[in-house]
Amino acid sequence: MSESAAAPAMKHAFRLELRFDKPLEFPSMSGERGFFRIVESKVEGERIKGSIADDGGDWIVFRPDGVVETDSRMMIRTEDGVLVYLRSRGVIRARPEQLALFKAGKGLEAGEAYYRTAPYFDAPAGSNCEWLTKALFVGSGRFHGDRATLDIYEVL
Amino acid sequence: MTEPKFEFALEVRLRLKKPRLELSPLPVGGNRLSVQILGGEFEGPTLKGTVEPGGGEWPHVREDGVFCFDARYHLRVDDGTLIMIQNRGYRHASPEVMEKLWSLRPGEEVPPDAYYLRSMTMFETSPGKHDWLSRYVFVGVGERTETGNKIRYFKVV
Repeated sequence: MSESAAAPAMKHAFRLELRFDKPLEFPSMSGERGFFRIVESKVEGERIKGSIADDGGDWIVFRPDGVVETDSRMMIRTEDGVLVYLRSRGVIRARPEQLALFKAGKGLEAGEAYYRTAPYFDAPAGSNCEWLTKALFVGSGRFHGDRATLDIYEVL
Repeated sequence: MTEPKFEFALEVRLRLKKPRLELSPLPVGGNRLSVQILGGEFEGPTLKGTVEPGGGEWPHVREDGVFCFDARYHLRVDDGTLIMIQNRGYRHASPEVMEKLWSLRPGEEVPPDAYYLRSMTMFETSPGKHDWLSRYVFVGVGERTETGNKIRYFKVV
């Protein structure tokens, strides 16, 4: 056996700030479902700046153990007018007792919880955002009521 | 083996936002669209209601011109039940028909048999009267309309 490959380093790509509409919630056969429609957003990084072009959203499943599985999609427009499509899966380790609050329509307060995402992108070939289609990314964030803030890192 | 049969379940009429956003060209070829759902209505033998605004469709338009849809949005039955719909499928036709469908003008119609618009559909909803929707495979047969589309969903039995 050869030695393990070195652990990859990470480089900050951008910060994503999102504000959501009041979520749609309903129990389903595969968990407590929620849809958080994105109504406001900001993308801010050295290599990309912009905001959401169409509202998009996050389709979540709130598991009985308190873990929230996220699944989001959105189209970003950069300040240069380039469109970037972001899809992402993630995990928020909320507390089981927060599920009851969520069911009662109290939103999701998970400010201190573990919140990690794995976003992936479409960007136009030849554009200044093409680098987003040539690397893996990891996001780390905070979820507060109707807002989420995520720092997205490029895995080098 | 008996061949599967189709039972009509519901018809959804969607209103879609214009203009559609077009990310082009993708590194893999073709382009990615973003189309927002503005609203709509639906009706079937056992349920009817409205389409919730929000959610959308992010199709990949392949280099061969085929639209590969990837949509997700929500229906609200008139008894208050929410239903999430996830739709994948294809739309294709001759380049002339596709061009006409892309820029459909008021009053203009393209006969639905001039193109192929079919979807593989999954529904998710709450336990109760409508939960059969999350136990069957559905196929949608659709038409492009001036303001969006109209899709009839059939339960595969």
